[in-house]
Amino acid sequence: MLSRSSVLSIQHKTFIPCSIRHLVLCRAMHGVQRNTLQAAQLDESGDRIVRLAAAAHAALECARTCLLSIDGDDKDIDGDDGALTNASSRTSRIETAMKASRAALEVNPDEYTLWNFRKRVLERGIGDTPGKREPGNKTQEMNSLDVWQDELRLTKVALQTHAKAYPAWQHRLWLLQQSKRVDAEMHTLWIKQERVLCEMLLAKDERNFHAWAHRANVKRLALQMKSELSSEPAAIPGCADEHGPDMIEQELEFSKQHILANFANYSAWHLRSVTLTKKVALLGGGAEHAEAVADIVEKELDWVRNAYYTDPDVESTWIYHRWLLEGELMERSSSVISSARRHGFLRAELTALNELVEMEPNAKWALLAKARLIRFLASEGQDTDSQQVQIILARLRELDPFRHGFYADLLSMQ
Amino acid sequence: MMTSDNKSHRSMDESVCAQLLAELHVESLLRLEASSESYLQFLLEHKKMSAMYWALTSLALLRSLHTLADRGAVLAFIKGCERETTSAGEDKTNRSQIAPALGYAGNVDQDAHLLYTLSAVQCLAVLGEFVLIEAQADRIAAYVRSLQNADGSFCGDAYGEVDTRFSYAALLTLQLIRRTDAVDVEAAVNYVLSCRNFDGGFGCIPFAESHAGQVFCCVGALKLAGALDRVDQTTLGWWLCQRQLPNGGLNGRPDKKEDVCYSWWVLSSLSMLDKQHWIDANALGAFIMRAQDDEYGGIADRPGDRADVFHTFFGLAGLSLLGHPSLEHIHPMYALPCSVIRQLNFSESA
Ligand SMILES: [Zn+2]
Repeated sequence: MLSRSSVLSIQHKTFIPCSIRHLVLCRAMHGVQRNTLQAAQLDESGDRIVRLAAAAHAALECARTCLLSIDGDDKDIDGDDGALTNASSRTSRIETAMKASRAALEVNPDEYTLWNFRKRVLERGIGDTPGKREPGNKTQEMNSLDVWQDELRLTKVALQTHAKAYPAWQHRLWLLQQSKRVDAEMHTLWIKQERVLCEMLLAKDERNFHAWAHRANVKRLALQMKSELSSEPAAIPGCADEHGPDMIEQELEFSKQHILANFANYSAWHLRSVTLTKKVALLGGGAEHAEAVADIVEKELDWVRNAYYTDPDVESTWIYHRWLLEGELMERSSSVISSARRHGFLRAELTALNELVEMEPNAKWALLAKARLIRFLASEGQDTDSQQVQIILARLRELDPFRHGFYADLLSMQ
Repeated sequence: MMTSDNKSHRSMDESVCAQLLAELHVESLLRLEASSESYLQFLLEHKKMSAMYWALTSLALLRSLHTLADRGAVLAFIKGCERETTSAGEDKTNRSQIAPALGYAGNVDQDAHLLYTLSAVQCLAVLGEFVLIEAQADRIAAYVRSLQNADGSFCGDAYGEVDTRFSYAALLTLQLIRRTDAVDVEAAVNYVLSCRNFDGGFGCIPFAESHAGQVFCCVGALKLAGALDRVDQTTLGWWLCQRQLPNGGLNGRPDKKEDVCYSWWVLSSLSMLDKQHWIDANALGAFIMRAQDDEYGGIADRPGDRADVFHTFFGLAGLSLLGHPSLEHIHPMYALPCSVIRQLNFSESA
């Protein structure tokens, strides 16, 4: 087996000793400015990195021997004289390796193999105490729960400093899934509390897509849990992933807060579009919901207008705007609310866009939205000046030269 | 229909091309030397296999792979990362009849993972080791197959993380080892399509926000499966071309900062859709050039930042797609030099 010190093993006859400056090339980095780090700081961070790596290396070695001994001991025949000694030495080996991997992961949670090792140890724990513990044996129960609680805490510590470490997120999700086998009650509680962690990390970085994806995964777990508990079908017609009505209002409020804090947070707009689609699907296609659906459409249009009047150059707002006019909500609403009413909304929107374009003649997003809306209204047989579409696209081609080819292709498709 | 006007946006001007510091980049890549003091082994240690792929492919794009002194050491490293795995979910009684599964780890003391299995196969392909690839193909295919779920999605490893990145990694690995029939491709396509959003892009799981990295993986997976005609390409192209910012660089999501690595993810997606002319080649090329380290070589995430091997590869790959004459052409779907793909296809027909 090759030693780790062989690095990339790319040899060159004129070997240049690696200065700190050269070595940094090796890291996949984001946003580390060339001039901000002085050589001395680099040396210092270099030392730190060497120490971290040494810890990870030692932990991996420790985990490897520990797993070998676990697998080896499992094959031992019980009743052997050495069985007791084996068991206790195995326990101490596991403890040592868990301690070493914990220390390494707290500072370097990208070491996926160390997380894997911990999963394997925890899985053994589930095997030893398979959720059907002796009713009186509180100590054992508490120990087992403590271990899982502690493990969740470890991932939290790791994520607080390394919010983009894939393996730490994965480990946390695995823990939440598997905890069902340890203690159903705690499983429920932990899943409910998971929002707290996501919100804490989103407060630090509102666009952290790991945190947004984790929210989606946890929602799915919560719904699985709910449908298992109630044994009633959780499926909403037309929705692949199921969403309770209570969760929908919660999610709408959550997205609203984030959008109001920053219109440029597309992650929040995205959540809003997905959630509203589910809300309308949940209402069903009956005519009795016409008012409710119309109300949703009108309020959203009002709101997004407010956003683009405040700052017409925010891309996020306009993608949501496009969804609002052309996405699932409008599609579904067309079967519930009358076309006269729907066209009324769209015409009012066209007026609003016209006003914006008059004030801001170079607002490219508004111009593109206007062209699309005119084309759509024309396709619905509405009386509009469809000549405008060509004129706007030709203007955009000059106004937005990087995307010259895009507008040219749209023009040729007209 | 393309007007000649559009074509002028497709390739870079000579004045931009001339800014490439090719020799410095080769030097910086070759400086990723054996050294026990190096940061490299530490910072990329869990994903050294991918770092190997970025470095080898960068050298290949710079037409300097021959300067690699010790291929043997590279091959020995890859060999050291082989992991025999037991494929989950298969009937144990029939185990003897099934080829034992073989995955690759991120480094010699790490566990097998699909991403590093793809990187290992890509490394072997760049090195022209097609005989070696073929010798392992059935076992690698067994590993990839063991990671597919009933809904068509793929896990990254035995511990169940699901992500559309793994759909691409699985299908590309199988394509490179010519074992595409090892998995349910139709189910894989359906899962990828279930992660599509209204804006035309794709997320990591269903209902997750579109992200250019995931878009690249999903477009690549669909292209590999011959299913790219099942998406609305105009909407997807619109979302992708809006990634270009006034400074010429590309971002990965709406209202985010530019980053050299998206030069690859966005541009290769546009290229697979035949819409590369929807962004400005000169402006992007000039942005990547500005992110070069003119002292020590390498490319950073954006101008003024520190260079690293990851962004060096994605920057060079972007410039290659933009048609830089000093660089080998890179294939947008395989993420390998086109010359390697020609050899692969030749070895197939031989
Ligand atoms: Zn980057």
